[in-house]
Amino acid sequence: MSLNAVVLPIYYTDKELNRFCTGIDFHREVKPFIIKDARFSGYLTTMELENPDIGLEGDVIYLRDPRDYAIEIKTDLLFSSYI
Amino acid sequence: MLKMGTSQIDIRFEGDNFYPSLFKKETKWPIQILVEKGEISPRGKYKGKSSPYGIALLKIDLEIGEKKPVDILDDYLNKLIQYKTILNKSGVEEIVFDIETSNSREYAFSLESDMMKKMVSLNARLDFRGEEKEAGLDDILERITPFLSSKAGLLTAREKEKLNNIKNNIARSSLSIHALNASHIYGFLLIYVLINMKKSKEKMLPFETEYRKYISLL
Repeated sequence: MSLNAVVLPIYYTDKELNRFCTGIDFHREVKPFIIKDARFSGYLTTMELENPDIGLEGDVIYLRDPRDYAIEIKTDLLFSSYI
Repeated sequence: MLKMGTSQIDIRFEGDNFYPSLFKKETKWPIQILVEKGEISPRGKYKGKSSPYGIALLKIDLEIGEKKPVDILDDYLNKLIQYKTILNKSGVEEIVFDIETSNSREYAFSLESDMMKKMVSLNARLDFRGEEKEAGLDDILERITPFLSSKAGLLTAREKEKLNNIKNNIARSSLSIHALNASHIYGFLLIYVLINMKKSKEKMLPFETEYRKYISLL
């Protein structure tokens, strides 16, 4: 169970991410912005995906292919700007 | 948040030149405007700046016993086909039917070719998710309580003491965890109990920290 010094993003379900949001529904009101910004920045084209898993490492948003966990992208999107 | 035994359907409209207010005015639908193209964006990469895109949401919540999500999908595809001129005029480039259900009977469905043709003609996409169940951590701990009583014969006195210590440690060290994703419960609890079985009360590992490590390793 030890992570040693390796820093990994933690991937959350929408329900889990909803707990980081106060007075706003993550799935309905936050996630569409993350997905749209990710698409606008070209990340989803790289992954050939529309609905990626969302992970966090601190404030930084990571995207992961739910069909292949080895495919993940560190984005320049910051979670704090969405909530 | 999705309640147990319910389905939730959102139809999301997006476009790089999408003006949701125009779409709302023309359709008279109760559309929630997330951001208007060219207006100051409330969140995200363009927060505080002019938004390069528009996003709007039409929420359709269902209770079990009403129509199935797939029937609602078909209804709205028909309505949207009729509104095609308005969709084009207001700049909608993509439509996403976002279906989330906690009713496992709805996990199996088929899309008829006619529906798929309508979706293609609208450049619509379907995101379907069967909501994973969650289990309340307090509920799980409460289930242990009967086995700690002196009458319960399943465990020895020593094992009861150990289980009670682990239970108390979980309650004490899980301040921000109130529910566990159901697909993770069995695996994590088995591991957690195993690694703490031989530790003294004082040296037990904090539940929340270990749970987050476990999730990160999946």
